[in-house]
Amino acid sequence: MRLLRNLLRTPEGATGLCLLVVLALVALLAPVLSPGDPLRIAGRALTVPFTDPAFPLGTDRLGRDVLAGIVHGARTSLLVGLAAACAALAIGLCIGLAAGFAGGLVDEALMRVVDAFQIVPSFLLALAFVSVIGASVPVVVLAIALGAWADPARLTRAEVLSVRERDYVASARVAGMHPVEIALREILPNVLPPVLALSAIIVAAAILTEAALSFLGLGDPNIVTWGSMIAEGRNVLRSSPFLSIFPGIALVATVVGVYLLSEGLGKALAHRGGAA
Amino acid sequence: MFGSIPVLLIVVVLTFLLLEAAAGDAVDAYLLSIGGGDAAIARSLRVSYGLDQSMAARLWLYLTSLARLDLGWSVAFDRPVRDLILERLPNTLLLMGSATALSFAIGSALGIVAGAKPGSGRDRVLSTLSLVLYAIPGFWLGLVLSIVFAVQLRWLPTSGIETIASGRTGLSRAADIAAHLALPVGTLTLVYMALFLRVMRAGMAEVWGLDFVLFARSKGLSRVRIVLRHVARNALLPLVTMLGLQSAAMLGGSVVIESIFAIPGFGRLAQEAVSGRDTALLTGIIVVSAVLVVLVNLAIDIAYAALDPRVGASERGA
Amino acid sequence: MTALCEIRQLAVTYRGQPASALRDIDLDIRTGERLAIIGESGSGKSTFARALAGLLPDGARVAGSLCWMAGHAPRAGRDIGFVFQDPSASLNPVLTIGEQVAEGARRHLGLSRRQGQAHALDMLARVHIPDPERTLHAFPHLLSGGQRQRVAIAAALAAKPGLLIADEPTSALDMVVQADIVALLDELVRDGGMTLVFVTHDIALASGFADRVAIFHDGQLVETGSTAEVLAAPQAAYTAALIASHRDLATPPLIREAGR
Repeated sequence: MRLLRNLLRTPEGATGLCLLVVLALVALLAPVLSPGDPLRIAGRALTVPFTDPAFPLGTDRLGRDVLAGIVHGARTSLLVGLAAACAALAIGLCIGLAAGFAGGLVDEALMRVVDAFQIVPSFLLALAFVSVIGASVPVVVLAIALGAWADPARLTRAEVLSVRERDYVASARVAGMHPVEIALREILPNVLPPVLALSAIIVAAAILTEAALSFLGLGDPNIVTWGSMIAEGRNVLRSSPFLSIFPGIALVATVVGVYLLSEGLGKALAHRGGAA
Repeated sequence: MFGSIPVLLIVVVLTFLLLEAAAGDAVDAYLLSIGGGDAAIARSLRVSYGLDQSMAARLWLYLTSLARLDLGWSVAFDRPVRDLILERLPNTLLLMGSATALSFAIGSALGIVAGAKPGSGRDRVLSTLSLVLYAIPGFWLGLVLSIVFAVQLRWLPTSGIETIASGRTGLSRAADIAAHLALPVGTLTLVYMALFLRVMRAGMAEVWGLDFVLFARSKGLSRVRIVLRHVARNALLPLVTMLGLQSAAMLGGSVVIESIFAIPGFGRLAQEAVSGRDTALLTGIIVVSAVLVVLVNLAIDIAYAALDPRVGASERGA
Repeated sequence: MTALCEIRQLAVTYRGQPASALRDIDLDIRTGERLAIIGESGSGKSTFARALAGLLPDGARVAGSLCWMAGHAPRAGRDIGFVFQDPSASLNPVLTIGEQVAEGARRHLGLSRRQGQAHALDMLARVHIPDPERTLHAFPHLLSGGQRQRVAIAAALAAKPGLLIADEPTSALDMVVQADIVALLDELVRDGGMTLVFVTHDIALASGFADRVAIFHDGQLVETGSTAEVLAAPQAAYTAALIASHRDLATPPLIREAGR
């Protein structure tokens, strides 16, 4: 559609989209690109990268293939990033809509709760959550979402408040539309663009948070993640720094892709004009 | 400011409830660490730590203790939580304070350079650089810098906050601490600098379009004066606001950095609380973090009011 | 009267717009005169004012010639002062009034900080700001619209330019205040021996004090001449229509018809 074309016309959007499409393909085709369990011992330990064609990026302390780790780690990063962002947006949208519509005491109470979640550092919250409930992918997703929903909620509420008084909403009310219908048909389409712009930042933050949690040993122990690979590499930092460097580069590339895409999206949406 | 008290209360209650959901409490973790113990010992330990009462009772006990500034007892460290936190907090404040000051100064300066001529080559280079820096995970950057400066070049120490048992005092000790903090502060500075650069640059790009800038040009003022005194001075405002908004995230970021560089700070304490399943300590840490963020935001509000004359002013019309 | 500036075949096109905002403008500006540029919105009068002052946005294409009799292009602030329509937007909200009035003078007249403040105080008094001492240290948001426009005029004239261009300086203000501002401009221009180019859509306002008028319509110069002549006997149909639309209002005669 036209948005896609506008997006591709910006250098940021085009580059970002390319990067992310490549990453998504790598993630989807992981079992094809690197068949077998990436955590299995595949070869000799600490093979230097670019020396052995069977292990282009080398192997770690236990002889696990680094390239396989990176390819499979892409799955976790992208999955957690997207899932956490979706969850955060969903929670934020609901609470924001509720607060914006209800007004009065309900609005006040909900905003205090939003404040509470904003003043606690989200990483500490995620730490506490994971430590209490246990480390698995769904828990990590929820933990990150809990730290990230406050901003979308605030943004949504602000949009609802500003949109609520506009003419077309008043006319919808006069026409006898049910409030929920008004919310879905009139308000939501106008709330979505700024909230979606925020979502890219949440995805990027989620990916980085998941990596940090895995790095500290609080991620899912049964799967390979870039964060856990970096942590593993720390043990042999002096002799084989590449073990920590490669997954880091993968992380940077992913996050840069997300940011570029979001900047491109921002420009493409702006080009569409302020049609309200 | 007093509006923060109900919010802090919510933080305390929610944190307490969350950590009570723990499958096993601190006593279990303790018994695990000493190699097991029977139910009787577990029971008596729980009674002595007050862990056998109902949740509501314990919550009330906690709130009343909090009012007396008593943050409970850390089972993992066998010390009052408050003492632990007070011991570790200064290191983190030193780390974060230095990093924030440096990144704010450098980031806004570079942001001004980039924003002086939006769209120029200089601007593009700086914007791309800041984008990449912003995307780098702090812990990975810390490791890379550690590899380069501590391991390969051996210019700086790899960990700790000072050389243990060196017996240094005064300036010599300060220099030692500075050397140890150079890499962690440097890492954090690079990461946060990117954000401040972007915000300042974006702010300036927006201010350039405002009418008073055109008026300043019509007065024939020098470019430097227009960039600094008119554009940047106004773009500073959203930057200060951003500083407040980021304070919570920065505090959270200290956890991994302190872990990598083995700094005995507040963030590291959080990690230790997690591994020791010490709910009292963890609760105390989260509550104190929230209070810190509130205080920082208060300070930022005061700073903002000092910078923007429109805040808090009453209109004297006609 | 000697010519200050001779404008020949001036044409301006903004970037990204197919139609030109101004074309075929031939006009002289005479030293010491009060010239009113009159037109409706979209007539190109603001574009003309900004082209004259060199304040067009980047990418605007200028054709034709602006020939300044002084021999060199006029310097912003030093030779030309500019007053904008919206006084609220002209002033930087975070700097004091005193600083904003003084900065032009400090730059062009080489004044020190103390001298600049004294000069600013003097300028504020000249634009009849009540309590100029206090205003010197105040911030723009504390003043009313009329006061802010006075401050803007003071700031524009601080470096003693020879030409003052005012782009609809009263359009954003109340009627009573409008008259005050126009009277102030009149006084300042007379006392300082300056040339005034006054852009407005209000022919009645202009007729009160302008020596010559230039009527703009749709990017072109329709008619020009002394105020009395043009208003008494307009050559172009558009001018006649403009005048007629004001004459219809049941207000006292708007035009001081010379000799009647």
